[in-house]
Amino acid sequence: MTLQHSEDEELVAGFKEPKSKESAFTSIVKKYQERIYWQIRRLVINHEDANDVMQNVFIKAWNGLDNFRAESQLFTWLYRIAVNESLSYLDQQKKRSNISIDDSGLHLEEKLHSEKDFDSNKAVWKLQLAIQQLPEKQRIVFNLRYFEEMGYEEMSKILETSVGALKASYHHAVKKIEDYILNH
Amino acid sequence: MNSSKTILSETQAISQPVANLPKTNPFTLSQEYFELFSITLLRRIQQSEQKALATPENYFSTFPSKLLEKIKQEHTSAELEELSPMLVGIQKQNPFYVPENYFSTFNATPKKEQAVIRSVFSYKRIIRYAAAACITGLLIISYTYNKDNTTSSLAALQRNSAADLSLESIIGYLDEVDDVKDANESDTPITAENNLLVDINQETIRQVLQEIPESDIKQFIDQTGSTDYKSLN
Repeated sequence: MTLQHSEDEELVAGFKEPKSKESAFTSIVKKYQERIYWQIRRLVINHEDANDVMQNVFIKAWNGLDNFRAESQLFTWLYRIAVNESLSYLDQQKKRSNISIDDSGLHLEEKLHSEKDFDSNKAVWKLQLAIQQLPEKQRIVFNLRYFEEMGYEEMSKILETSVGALKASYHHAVKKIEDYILNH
Repeated sequence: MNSSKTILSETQAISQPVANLPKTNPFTLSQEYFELFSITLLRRIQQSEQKALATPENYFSTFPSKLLEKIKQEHTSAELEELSPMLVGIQKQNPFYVPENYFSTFNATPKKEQAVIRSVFSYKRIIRYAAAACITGLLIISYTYNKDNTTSSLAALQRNSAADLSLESIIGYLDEVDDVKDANESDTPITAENNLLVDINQETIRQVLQEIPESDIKQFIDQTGSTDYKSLN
């Protein structure tokens, strides 16, 4: 058992005690908020959207922590909620705006264009534009592996996909990004 | 977490240009966001929990009456729907006008008026009942008394009426009586004891007829047209 795991267990146990519930929850939020936020932000792009999803994620965590079992790691559980919430949020947006699955990349690209300091000539923004062209699953895998530097085993637990499939997804994603950057 | 080196070498193996891209985060975010996030989040959770548990003002005090009203409405509307679906469609609006502030200023206290006191036992009423009883008594007595007299009066009436009857009618009546008498005789034998007939012989009849004046006999013959008057003697 790792040090982080035992620390998370203590926080979860503190949450289950009425006296320390709020303080334990605040500690959990503070510990994971940045990593969760950036994972969400890279998927939904816009800060307001990311903030909405963040709140939904931690409200779900508040409601579900009483039943949380120590078998899985806390941050894996939070990441899974974050990914699911981000994807549902994007789906809702697509439905509201009447956007087809094929045009979802375009929709995210438009969001990028409206970001402060956006410059399509800069490599960092070009990379972001390339990521938005990827299919949903490959986009998540690439973000988790490239930016979060997450191991396949961990990713497998979050996305409930085999390590082999994840490796293949990452491979395809990198190739597509390379193709986009070389052609734009 | 995998080491950055492992991931970098993996990416390099797939695509060198991608591996060479800077990993700088291009997105901007205010510094305060993460400092305030947990506070904002907890406030929102508390608010939503309060909202979830809060009940509207007077909810429990008005709940039974509202529930009964709803049940009644459902019952009556179902009944009305069965009877006349057309009426269900008509809005239940009250078309009658009530002056403004009528109910708020309505005074339920009755005006102070002298109440009319009526006695249960009235002397006038008792006298009325007594008079009625006396009259009823008198009527009963007079009826009983007159009942006997009525029989005699009827007999008198019959007598007077007999004078007006024609002789033929009387003879017809007597024949009928004889027939009845004959019929009775056939049933029970008539003896000296059980009949009222007077035993008159031929001699007695002749004497009686001789006492009748000739003028009366002539009148009788004129009226009846009988010529056999000698046989009567």
